[in-house]
Amino acid sequence: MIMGPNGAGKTLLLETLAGFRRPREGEILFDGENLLDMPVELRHIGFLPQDLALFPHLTVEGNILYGLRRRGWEDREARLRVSELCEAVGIANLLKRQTTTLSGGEKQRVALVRALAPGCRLLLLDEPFSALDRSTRREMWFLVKELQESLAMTVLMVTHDMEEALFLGDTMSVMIDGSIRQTGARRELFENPNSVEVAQLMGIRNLFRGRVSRAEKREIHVRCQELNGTFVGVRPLHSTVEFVQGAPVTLGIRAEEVAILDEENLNPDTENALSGTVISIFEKGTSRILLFEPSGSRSQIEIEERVGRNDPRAIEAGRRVTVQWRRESLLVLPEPRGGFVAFPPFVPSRGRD
Amino acid sequence: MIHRRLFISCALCVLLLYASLILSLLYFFRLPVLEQSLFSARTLFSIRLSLTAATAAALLSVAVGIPAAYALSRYDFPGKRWVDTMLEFPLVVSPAALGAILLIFFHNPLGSWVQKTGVSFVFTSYGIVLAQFVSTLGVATRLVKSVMDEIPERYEWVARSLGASPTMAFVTVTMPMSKKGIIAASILTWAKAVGEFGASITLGGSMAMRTETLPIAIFMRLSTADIEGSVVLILILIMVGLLVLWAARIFGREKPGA
Repeated sequence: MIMGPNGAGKTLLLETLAGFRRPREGEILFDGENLLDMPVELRHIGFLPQDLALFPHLTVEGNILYGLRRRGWEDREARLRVSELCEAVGIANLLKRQTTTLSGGEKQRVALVRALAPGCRLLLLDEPFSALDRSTRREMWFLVKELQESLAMTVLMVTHDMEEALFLGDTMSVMIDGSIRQTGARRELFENPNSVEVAQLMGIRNLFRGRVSRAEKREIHVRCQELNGTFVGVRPLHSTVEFVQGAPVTLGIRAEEVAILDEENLNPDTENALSGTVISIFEKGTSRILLFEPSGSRSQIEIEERVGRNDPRAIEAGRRVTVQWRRESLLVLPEPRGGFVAFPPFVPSRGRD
Repeated sequence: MIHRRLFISCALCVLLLYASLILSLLYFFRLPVLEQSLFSARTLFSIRLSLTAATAAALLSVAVGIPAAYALSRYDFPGKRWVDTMLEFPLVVSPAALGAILLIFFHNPLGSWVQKTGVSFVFTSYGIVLAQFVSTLGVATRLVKSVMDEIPERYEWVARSLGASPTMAFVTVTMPMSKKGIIAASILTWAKAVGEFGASITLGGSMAMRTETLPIAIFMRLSTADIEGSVVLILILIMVGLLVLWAARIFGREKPGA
């Protein structure tokens, strides 16, 4: 899975791998073979563009048979293959339909089957589900996973949707401004982004500038003016950055990792704790977003808490509380290239309490 | 509201202008002249020559224009800008100048050699076809290029990823997808060829029963002050032209529900 914001170069990368564009330099190695000079039609790489590109002059059956005919399949075997795949994917009843009359979800399925039918060693998916509604998109996620496992195939997909990336991606890479910034298992990227840009893509909105006040073997102490406090985080295991005293860093903490403590129990020496006021609360279905302003600071921390309806422990706006996070949850990141761009506080379109 | 009325008025003015010019012909329309002209060997020859020459020229223009248009639409190559600019060359030079250029060409050593050893073009019906082809090639290429520009290259990429060679992708995907547009472009090219006059008369001449197309016949009638004869031929040309335009609209129209 390759995840990145719009304009990162994800589509360009896929098109280059498929052979539609030629890189100025470098090689494309797949299973030890250099594909750089290999014609597109000989690479056996399936490609699903964002708009699916179903052939409007052919029926559903014609579209799916297209690749089989080009690859020299005999008509009887080709139709059998079409029939089997369409049954498996649930589109057998659409074979005689014109592709222009299909719904979004139906088109996705047809496009997937068309790409898979001739057999391919690698399937490239370019944000194929971005135009679908949430429920249909989730159906397609399960379908892709199922097909990937049953056909034992490598799938390389690009997306800008974090949830989609985390659901589908066994291995993930984050691409920003044309370069891969981090690659690893999805859990690794989610829990240990290696830069502010990656952290922002992974959904971390609480990012604050600070300076290293003390760097030890296993932990780093950071003085953060924005939050008016000093915080302790675990030294990243594989960081290439030198965390020396005085070095500028960025602290990151997930909204759901911030716990709200009972203020009466506040111990001033409690590690990674801040007292302050809840400024605003936004309802989000089964969770709420609280904007918390630490005492002596004008910055705000987003806190996501899951509460049941009419929960008596639910905090109201204006209340003074103490928040805290574990040192393992605090990310200590190098200062971003090109300077820091602060994320605005979360403001949903409706549902404000 | 004023904006809407003004714009609709302009559209109606276009109709008014052309319709009034056509209707004004009826002042000189004589039924006996129509009957006489319609069944005269000379008129029938002109109609036949106009239709066959225009068909041949249009077919040639589209046959060359389609691959040329594809190259202009899809590829970058040295001289591309020059090719693109030259598509409008027949429009920029007047048709008479175009005909003169062709005539002069066939009087230089290379042209003379072609005339002697290959096909004779000067003052022959082949010259009419050549003149119409040269006049319409740029237009045909431009029209087909517009059609192909509307078809995203992605469709061909997908076809190639499914195992199609570049040629097969062009034949099985690009051409079917641009079929309606190419047919409409062909019909418009044909209409332009039918109406071609300047280059045709300069290169082909105006010999009755040999190189006299309908537009040339109209000019020849006028030059002998045969107004009624001209009117009849003009009306015949208009009927042919309107039929063609109607056919172009039918082919260019999307099917309902597509």
